[in-house]
Amino acid sequence: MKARSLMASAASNSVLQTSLIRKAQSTGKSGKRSLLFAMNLTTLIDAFCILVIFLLSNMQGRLDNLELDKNLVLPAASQSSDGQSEVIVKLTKNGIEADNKKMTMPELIKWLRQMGQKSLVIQADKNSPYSELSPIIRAAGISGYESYLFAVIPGKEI
Amino acid sequence: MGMTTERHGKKDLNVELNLLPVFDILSVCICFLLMSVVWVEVRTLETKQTFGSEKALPDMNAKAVWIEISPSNKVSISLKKGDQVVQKKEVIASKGQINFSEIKKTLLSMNKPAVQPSSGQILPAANTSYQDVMSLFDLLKTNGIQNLGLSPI
Repeated sequence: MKARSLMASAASNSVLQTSLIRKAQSTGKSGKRSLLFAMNLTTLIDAFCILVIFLLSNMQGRLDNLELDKNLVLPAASQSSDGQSEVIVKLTKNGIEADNKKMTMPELIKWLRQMGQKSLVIQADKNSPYSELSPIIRAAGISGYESYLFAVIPGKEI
Repeated sequence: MGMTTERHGKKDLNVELNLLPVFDILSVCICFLLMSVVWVEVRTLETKQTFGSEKALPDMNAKAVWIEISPSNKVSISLKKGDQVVQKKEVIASKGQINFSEIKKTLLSMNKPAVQPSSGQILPAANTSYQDVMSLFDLLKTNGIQNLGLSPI
């Protein structure tokens, strides 16, 4: 009974609100405009639904991608594939970085051996000369990595 | 929330739906998706090491394309069968940059069914930019050469 009375009062409230809104929509008396206005939420919800569907389809189940350094501009390549972020070595302005710290060649070789020959991803700036990139490849070879992945961004075919 | 009111014992068919909770849920969904979406998709190009590794490349007698870049960006493209050079062409740099269009033409001419190379090796110079190396990899992959190798200096 209590619930029914509550529902009835809610219904009367909503009826009151609707009548108020309708009153506000009509031109006010004595030429003054009322501050109450009716906002149609249905169209807004439609737009939100479209946004949610678009974002969900764009996500394609991927939540994490390769962590990218802000200062690096990766080269573009059209024939690329999805990469897994297991072992990442970065070539930055400061030098070779792995495990979020700067490393020398012997340190890098030791660290790569510790990581146990998983898939190695190399990130470097597109303008870096090959002489700076070569020590990473050499260190990977010494550590027993046969193949490695270069991080790129999808681009147009040459 | 649906609600029906009774008038003269009959149920009213008009239902008032409260859209605000739906609005809240959608807002939370959009916020979460916008925060978690991957804006810059990082992809990868797989390569193998030509020299300096413990294991040798498989089947060294198979036909392979060797691309050597000189410090002046002159590119030497050789089609090799083992150690024997079957075909060789040099592509001169255009305005100091690697002439990719000419390399593309050369690779297309080499990529005939009878001489289909199975692997490609790149030997860059010290001053070759990383973008140029990746562009060459991209060209080789576009021409159907999937086993790619890179030589350290």
